[in-house]
Amino acid sequence: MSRQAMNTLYSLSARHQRNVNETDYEVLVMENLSADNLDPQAVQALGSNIRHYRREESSPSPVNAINEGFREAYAPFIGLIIDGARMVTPRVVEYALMASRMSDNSLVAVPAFNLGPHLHHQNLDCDYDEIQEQELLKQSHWQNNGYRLFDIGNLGEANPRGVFQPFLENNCYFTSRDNFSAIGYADERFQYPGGGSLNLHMFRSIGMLPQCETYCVMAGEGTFHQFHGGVTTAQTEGRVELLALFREQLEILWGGHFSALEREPFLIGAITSHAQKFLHYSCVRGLKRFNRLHRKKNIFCQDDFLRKNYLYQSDISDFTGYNIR
Amino acid sequence: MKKLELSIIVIVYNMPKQAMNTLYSFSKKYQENVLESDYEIVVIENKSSNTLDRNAVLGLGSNFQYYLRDETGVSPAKALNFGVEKASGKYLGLIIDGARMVTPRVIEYVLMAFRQSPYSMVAVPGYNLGPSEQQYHISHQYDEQAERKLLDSIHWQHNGYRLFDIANLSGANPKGALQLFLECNCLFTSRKIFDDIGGADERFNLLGGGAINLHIYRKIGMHKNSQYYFVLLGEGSFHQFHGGVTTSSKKDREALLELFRIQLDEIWEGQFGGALKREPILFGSITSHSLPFLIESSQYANSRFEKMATRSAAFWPDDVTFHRHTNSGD
Repeated sequence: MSRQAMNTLYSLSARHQRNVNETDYEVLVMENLSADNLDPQAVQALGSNIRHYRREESSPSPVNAINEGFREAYAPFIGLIIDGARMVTPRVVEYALMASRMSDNSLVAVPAFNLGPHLHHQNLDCDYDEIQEQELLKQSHWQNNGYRLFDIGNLGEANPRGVFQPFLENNCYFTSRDNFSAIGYADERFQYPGGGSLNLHMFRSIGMLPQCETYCVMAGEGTFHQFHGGVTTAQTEGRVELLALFREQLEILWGGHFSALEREPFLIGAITSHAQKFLHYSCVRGLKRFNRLHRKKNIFCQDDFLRKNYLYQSDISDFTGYNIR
Repeated sequence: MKKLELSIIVIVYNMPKQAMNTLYSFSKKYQENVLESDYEIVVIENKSSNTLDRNAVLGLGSNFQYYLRDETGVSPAKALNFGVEKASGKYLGLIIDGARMVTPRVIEYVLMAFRQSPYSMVAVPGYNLGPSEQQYHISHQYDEQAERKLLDSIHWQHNGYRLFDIANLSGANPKGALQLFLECNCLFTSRKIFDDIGGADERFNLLGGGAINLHIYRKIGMHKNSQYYFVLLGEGSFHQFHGGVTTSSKKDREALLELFRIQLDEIWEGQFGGALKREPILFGSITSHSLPFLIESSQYANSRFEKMATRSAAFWPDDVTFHRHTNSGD
């Protein structure tokens, strides 16, 4: 997906990221060689803080590439984007750096969106393809203002109801090297295509670490998935069966107790006019969730209670008795 | 010994019941995820016939200081400067009206904001307790007794976020956390910036300080080093009814406000820029109690963006002087 990856890399470069310098961060591109590779010179031209690694890989999983990336990274705070087709908005790096200063082992997630009007795994039913997407991107002139991606995107499957609902996974998150180390980096048992449920596993594992005190969400930023016929992000034959295999592996590893991360998000960042409608939708859905859980006397963010280093959550004193699901 | 990070200056005059609620809300008994050693509360009371009980104040925690002072004027400006002189923190919280209670994570988030930059500016949105703006309360049969009943009914000491359940948006930020603030009554800045703007300008000698809060807010917000403007969207400061200067029904209220405006205009030589038009960086969690206000704010923000876009006007013109990219419109 060299075309999509170049958009992603441009969006991460200091040409597009605002209020930061090339010296504030580095981007490591771990490319598993295929029939459609990136042009190393074009990648390098995006900035002196971008390093491109071309690697032979026999596994269909990105797990080895991720771990090599961890080994090569210099910084104590690391962002992980498992799918190179995800472009980001202009202040993701600025806010990730802010989150790194909030507590020693913060976790900060960027909400996910799909480009175009539909979920990408329904592309055939919705008659959506790369050509339409390229036209959408071209018309948006996103390079001049990356927030316009919100104008041509829709909420992703990992967070379909916005920022006040638990995230099942996250495709662009940042946390400390210590946190990645504490979960044993990327678990090499995830050898299915695309890593299977690796992303879900890592996100929840980090979020549940006792040392991971602050869980932030960038309510006004986003990652935007470009259509590229990915393992589970396109309408392909055998997709449902493959997802069942991914789920089965996850359930085995988690002893049947895997769930979305239910922690109270600390919102960080400004809301542009482009992202405003999504914040509003999140608020409306969030209130519905609060009301529903309140009626059932269920705790809103129960993972905050289950973590050893529980600090404070506001709703506990609203109940005389409460339930953990 | 660790240098003290944060000092909160609370000015009190003739409202001991309300002030005790405010001080309790700033104490470690109520603030979450912080230690007493992280901050101090400096209470400056101008003498009246109705003062605080010193022992009760100091009983709230070892991080409280209390000063009772004679004041011949009617403005809190001198008391604020006196408080800053007594304070030892690098960062300052300015609570010019001691009747404003706060929610439980204000201190935690303020300390986080100063980890971003020593020159952060942090604003806590303002609310009024009760059903409507308090200047209209007399006509609405709302008084201190009604408010005490309201407060008792929610057991706010156990969960301060319930204050949102009995409040309405303040006139300082009538359109909520995503819109412009004319002033802020629970504001945090660095001592350096406070000194740079000349402290609390004692020319604001009118009742209650007149427009001093608007002046301080805009001065700090436009200070050249004020890089980050944070708004704690899920927290709040809640004004209790106490018959203060501008928050009570008085026949001559309009005339008084006019005097405030004239003085502000004189001091700014006609160049006061109004509400601070900078893009807020949202900071903090949202509880179920504050979410309805965020929905309201979000609707207002959307209307403003649409209105400004129609006029091809910049959304945040005051950001232009800062070297930060913000969403200034397309």
